[in-house]
This record gives sequence, structure tokens and C-alpha cells, in this order.
Amino acid sequence: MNIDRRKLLIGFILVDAVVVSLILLYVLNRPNAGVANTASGERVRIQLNWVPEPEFGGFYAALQDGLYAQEGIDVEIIKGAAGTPAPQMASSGQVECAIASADQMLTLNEKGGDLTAVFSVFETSPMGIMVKADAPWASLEELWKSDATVAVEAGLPYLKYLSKKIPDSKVRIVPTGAGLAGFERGAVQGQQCFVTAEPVQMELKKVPVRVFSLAASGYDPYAVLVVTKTSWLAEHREVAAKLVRALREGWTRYLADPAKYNVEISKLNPAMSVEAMNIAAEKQRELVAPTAAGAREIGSMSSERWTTLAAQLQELGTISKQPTSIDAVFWNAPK
Amino acid sequence: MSSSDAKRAVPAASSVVMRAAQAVIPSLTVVVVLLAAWQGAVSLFAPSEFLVPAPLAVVRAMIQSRQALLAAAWMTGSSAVLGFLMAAVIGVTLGSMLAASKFLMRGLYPIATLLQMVPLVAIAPLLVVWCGYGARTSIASAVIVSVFPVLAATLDGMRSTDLGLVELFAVNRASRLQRWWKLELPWAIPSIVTGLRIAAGLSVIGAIVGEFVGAFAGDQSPVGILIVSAIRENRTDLVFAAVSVAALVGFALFGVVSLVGWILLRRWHASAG
Amino acid sequence: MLQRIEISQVGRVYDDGFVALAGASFDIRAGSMTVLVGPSGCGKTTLLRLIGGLDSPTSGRVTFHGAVGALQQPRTAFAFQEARLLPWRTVLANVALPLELAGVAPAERIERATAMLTRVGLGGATRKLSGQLSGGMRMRASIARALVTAPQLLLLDEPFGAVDEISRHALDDLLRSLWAELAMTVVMVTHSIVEATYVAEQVVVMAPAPGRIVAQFTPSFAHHSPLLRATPEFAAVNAEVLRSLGEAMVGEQR
Repeated sequence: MNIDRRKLLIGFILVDAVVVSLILLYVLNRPNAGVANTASGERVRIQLNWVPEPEFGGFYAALQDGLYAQEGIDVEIIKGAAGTPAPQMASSGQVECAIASADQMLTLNEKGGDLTAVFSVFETSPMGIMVKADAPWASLEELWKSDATVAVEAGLPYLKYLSKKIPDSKVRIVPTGAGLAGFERGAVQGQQCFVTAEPVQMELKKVPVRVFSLAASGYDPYAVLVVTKTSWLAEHREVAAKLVRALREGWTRYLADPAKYNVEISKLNPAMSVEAMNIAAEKQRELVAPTAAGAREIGSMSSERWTTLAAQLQELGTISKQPTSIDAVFWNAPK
Repeated sequence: MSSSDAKRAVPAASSVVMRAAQAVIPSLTVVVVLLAAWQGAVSLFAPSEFLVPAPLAVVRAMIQSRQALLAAAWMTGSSAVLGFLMAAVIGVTLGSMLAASKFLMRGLYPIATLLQMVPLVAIAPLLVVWCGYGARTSIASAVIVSVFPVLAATLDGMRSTDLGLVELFAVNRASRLQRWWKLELPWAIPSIVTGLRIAAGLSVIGAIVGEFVGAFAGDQSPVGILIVSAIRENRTDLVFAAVSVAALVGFALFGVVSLVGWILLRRWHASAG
Repeated sequence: MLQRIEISQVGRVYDDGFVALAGASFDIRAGSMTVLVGPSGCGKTTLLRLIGGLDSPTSGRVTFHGAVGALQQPRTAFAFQEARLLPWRTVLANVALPLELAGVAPAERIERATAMLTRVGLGGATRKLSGQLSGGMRMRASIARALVTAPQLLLLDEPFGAVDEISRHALDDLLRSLWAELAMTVVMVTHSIVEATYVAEQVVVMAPAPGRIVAQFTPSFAHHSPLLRATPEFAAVNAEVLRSLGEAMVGEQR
């Protein structure tokens, strides 16, 4: 009896030891952030915050045309989904780069995040509120003053901005989690959208919509920013510059002929057809690369825009103080 | 004399207090130690605020946002309670029906079990389409998660009815309804109370999941909305505060159900056990 | 009006082919006290259930004879080996249960149940829960519940089998006096020969494999009192019953 129990105990200890060593081996063998230097060059992982769509078109174009390899860097684009905490992952060093919006980055930095923006896809924010084409409201302000139901992601700063700007708002806010069915059926009359996504879906379903741009209302943070951990950037300026060059060229090529690249992107996201991607690419062109004279170079950012945003966020109480230096929150790579 | 003998030797009135204290003190100690360890670890390693908040930061968030949290607890709590009550009625009724009929039992029980496996998060968006925005969705969501434990407990309890007592009712020519009301239902009560206790905690979770997709956000938002917006704002302290409030609501509901169950059962269950 | 019960060639074969009872025939006089005694598996409980209508014979029949020919099943009550009290009810509410199920008004059923509880010696325990009673008290409550409907036929299935011997003697005496006092026919199953000899007017001895009747006795004592159990007269009758059973069992072994 005693001997049996001792045998059993030794058996358990052996099994435990094996299990623990396997776990340790696995943990120790996991590729560590920042130390990966592969044969084909410096490794850069870009964590998306959403599924592959035209908003990331230039990233994939650069991949398809081998532009990263030409720069001597090894880029891996990691798909995201609803709720992927992409900037948090970059800040904690799990990936080198991640996608965020400018307001998200500033908020996170105040909560102990340590991020710098190196590339902004959108010059003008593609965020908006869509309503059906025959809806009675002519502007965002009118919609907000009605008692309509609007599906919006709770906790985004623009909601505070709008309720501050439109004091007598009566609109009823619900989450977006239920998808577009509610909008289609009329349970919600307004729906938060990315110009390149939800309106395209509606268009393809022959539901005509209008979009009220948030940028036009005065709240216009950079969107689809590539952010990195500040300390990583300090040690990898060269790598970051190569990345930005490849991204710039990738976006130039994508904007010139999106259809050429969308076929491959659609394979990564079968839920969105090539047709839908082509429509979306057209809709975002002006927001990514404005045709107006003196427009920015693709990807670059200005301190005026960052200053405006930081001031707005502080006024809304989203952040409690201004960044120590506004020029430190973003980095425009030299040409 | 063993310690359990010593416990029995204590006079009745103070023994209730003693037993309550003995039940609470160990878990309270563990909680306090864990919180202290957590606070210590956060102070020592100073991780980013958005990763882990310190317990004190959570308490601060609770105090700062007490009005929003109270309103949220009230909204989510009432959805959970309504959902729980509906689940209790539906669960006991369906459980009784299934216990009464082999045909229904064979036909419906596997389906009910299967439905239980469907992740609530997957059906929650559908609930919005069916029930619309507002409390109805979170109530429906609470009902869906909490109905099965009640149903299963009722069914199990009733099917375990002592066959001798069934025969006693048969020889006294009891009707089917009399047998249910005067024998099977009271017999199943200990089991039903266990099911209800599980359902009480689940109903709060169900209500919150419903709120994630279907609640109105505004000056007063339920816990589910508070959690998603706090996540979006990187307010992990507020997330933990909201989660703690939800846990308290669930605990309170669990406590009330346990108390009611204890009152119902104390007479014959205590004597039987 | 009590009825004579005629058991003619009554047999019971179960679905699996097991012969629980192979053709039993005897009469039960109206208002009598009959005891079925025998070892386990002799079919005595099966026979009791057939008499009570809880089961149907696969051969033969049980008939009830009143003043005007064959009648339907008389008003019948059962008591089982276990008290079968509902643990969540008081003793009073347990005893009133058959009346409650029959739709008797609350005031009347409380009155009748209280009276019956007093009669069986539980007048002081009406408010107690069954868990607070001793085994003997539980059986008294069980008997009171059976009698509260004023049955014409009382069927008892080893009612005192789980009670200690001294309590059992007291319960046997209680049963005798209740039977003497109330107009009813009693049929009781037991595996105690002493109990059978003491309680019965008619002892039906049964043996197993297959279940059958092997002998019948009609013990008749001049003075029926608790001390009867200690008399040579009683011992003689008891020995006779024992012998008949022993012979049947020995025959079985050959």
C-alpha cells in the first residue's frame, strides 16, 4: 500500500517534471520581440487592428511587389479582428509595429504606453456616421439633435466631442456589436462607419446611404497610423526609415492600381469581395492622398495636426495633460 | 475532543455567528492577502497602467465613478434579476414537463443541452435583432444562460423522487397535478435551489453580454457598456471597478437565493441531514 | 359493509418468466385479521399487492363478496415497511395527506387526523417533522395515515419489520386493539412467525420457488393479552407454524 503510493507519487513527479520542462522549452523558444534578426534582414511585424481591407492596401502592395525585401527588411503583416489590442501589443513589445488611430495612441501613452507614430495612411479621417439616403437629416448636427438611435463604439473620444459640440443632443447611443442588421432593418438609423467598409457593404446590398464625415465636423485625428514603441524606434531608425520608404512606395502603387493588388488581399479576407475592395479603394483615395496643391507626401504628419488633436483631447478630458513634446509623438522619416 | 466537537458544544445562538465567521474568515483572509500581493507586485514592478491597475487605483476609480457605477449596478442588476426570475419560472415549468413525460424528455432534453453549448456571444447580436435595443436584449440574454441549470436541476430533482412516496400517492389515488404539486416539486426543491444558485451568478454574466451588443449608452449606462467604453479608453482601473461591481451584484443575487433556499430547506433538510 | 375476499387460483408471472406466485387459493373472512408469513421470495408481498389492486394477476382472480354478490374493490389503505412520511411536512400534515388528496375540507381533515394521531399515541407529536421521530413513532404515524380514511380493508406490508423487538410488540398490540375497535378487514405480511401467531386470526404460511401457500392455521387463544407470548399454549401454536414452514423448505431442498 505504502510502496504503491510512493510509486504513484514518483510517477506524478516525473510526469510533472516532463510537463514543466516542455512548457519551459516552449516559452524559452518563443521568438522574442526585438531580438529577431533573420538572414533576410531586420524583422518587422506589423499588427493590424482589423481584417485585411483596402485601408491596409499599400502595406500589402509593398509585400506583393517585394518592396520590403528590396529595402532589406523582413516584414510580416499580422491580421487583426474586432477588439485586437494592436497598439497595446506594440507598447508591450510583442510586435514591432501596430496600427492605431492618433487619439488612441495619445490616450494609451498617458496610461503608461510608450508609442511613436511613424506613418499615417489617412490624411483625413475616414470615420463617419452613415444614414440611409432617404433619412430626414441633412447633417451630423441634425441627426444628433433628433431622437434617432445611433450605433457607435462606446468610449471613443469623438462621441464626447460631438456631445460637447452639440449640447442639446437627444440621440440614443447603442453598441455596434450587433452588426449591420439593425441598420438595414431600421432598428438603428445611424451607424458608425469607416468610409471604406460599411457604406460599401450597403452599396453592394443596394441600400443607398449617405455618410456624415467626422473630419468635416472638426474632429480629425490621423487614422490607420503605424506606431512603434519609442525605445524600439530610437534603436532602429534605419529600419524604420526603410519601412516608411517601402510603405510610401507601396501606397503610391496601390493608389495607382488598387484592383491589381486587391485580388491577393481578398484571398486573405474572403468575407470582402474583390469588387467591394475596388469600390472601397476608390472611396479612400482622396482621404489618403489629397489632390489639392501643397498636399503632404503620403504617410507624413504635421505638428499642427497633432497639436490640435492633443488640445481637443485635453478639452474633452480624455487626456489630462499635453504630451511633453508634440514633436516626440510622431516621426517623419527622412526622404 | 476534536474541533468539530468543540463547535457543537457552543450554544445555539452564538454558534450561528461563529459558523458564519468561520465560513467567511478564511475566504476574506485569502482575498486580503491576494489584494496585498497584487498591490505589492504593481508597486514593485510598476507595469504600464493600461496593462494592470493597482487595487488602490481600482478603489479610487470606484470612488470617483461611484454614481456611474451605482447606476450601472442598478441597471444591470435589474436586468439580471428579471432574467433570473423568468429563467426560474421557465426552467421549473419546462423541467417539470420534461420530468412528467418520457417523450418530451427524450425529444427536448438533448436539444436543450445542445442550445446550452451555443456560445452566448454568438447569439447576442441576434437577440438585438429579435428584441431590439435596450433592457429587453440583456434580459433575454440573462434568461438564455440561466435557464438551463434550473431546468436540469428541476428535472434531476423530480426524477429522483422516492418511488415509495410515488406509490403512496398512487394508492391514495392522487391526480397527476396533486402528485406534482404536493410531492415532486417539494421533493425537488433542494436540487432546484442548487440550480437557482448557479443561475443567479450566470444571469449577471448573461445580462452583461447582452449589454455589450444591445444596451443604450448615455449619462447612465449599464455595466456592459461601462466595461466596453472603459476598455476603449484604456481605463483598466475603471474596467476592474466595473467588473468588481458586476461581481458584487452577482454575489448579492447569489446570496439572496441561498438565503431563500436556506429558509425553505432548513426545516426538513437540516433534520434529514 | 365489509366484504369477504375470495382468492382463487391467483398467480403472477413476471415478464421475464419469473413465477412470483403459482396459484394461491383461500378465503378472507369479512372483518378478519389475516397474516401472510413466509421467507423472502415466497410471493407474500405480491399476493398483498394483488389483493390491494396495485397489480393484476396473470391467472386466477381476486373477488370481493358483500351482502349482494360481487363488489368492486373496497375502500383500501396501505402501510408499508418504511413509514414513507414526507420529510417537509409535520406529522399532522402527513397523516392528513390521504384526506387532502381526496378533497376533504381542511377543518375536517385536521380534526380526523388529530383524533387518529391521539388514538395511536402520537397526540403530543403532531407538530413534529418526521426526521424528529423515532422509528416506532414513525410507524405509528404511518398506521394513523392509513387509518385516517376509515378503510374497509387495511393492507400492511411488513409494517414493523424495521423496528426493534420491544417496540414491535407494542405496535402489534396497538394493531390488535385498532382492529378490534374499528370495523375493517386486515391483511398483513410479515416474515416473523411469532408476530403472525400473535396477531392473526388466520395465518397463511407461504414458501418460495415458486411462491405458494403451504399451510393455514387459525390460532385461537382464550385470553389475548401481551403476556400470551410467554405461555406454553402460544409456544405450541408457534411451533406448529414453524414446523409447517420448515417441512416445506426441506422439501424444497430435496
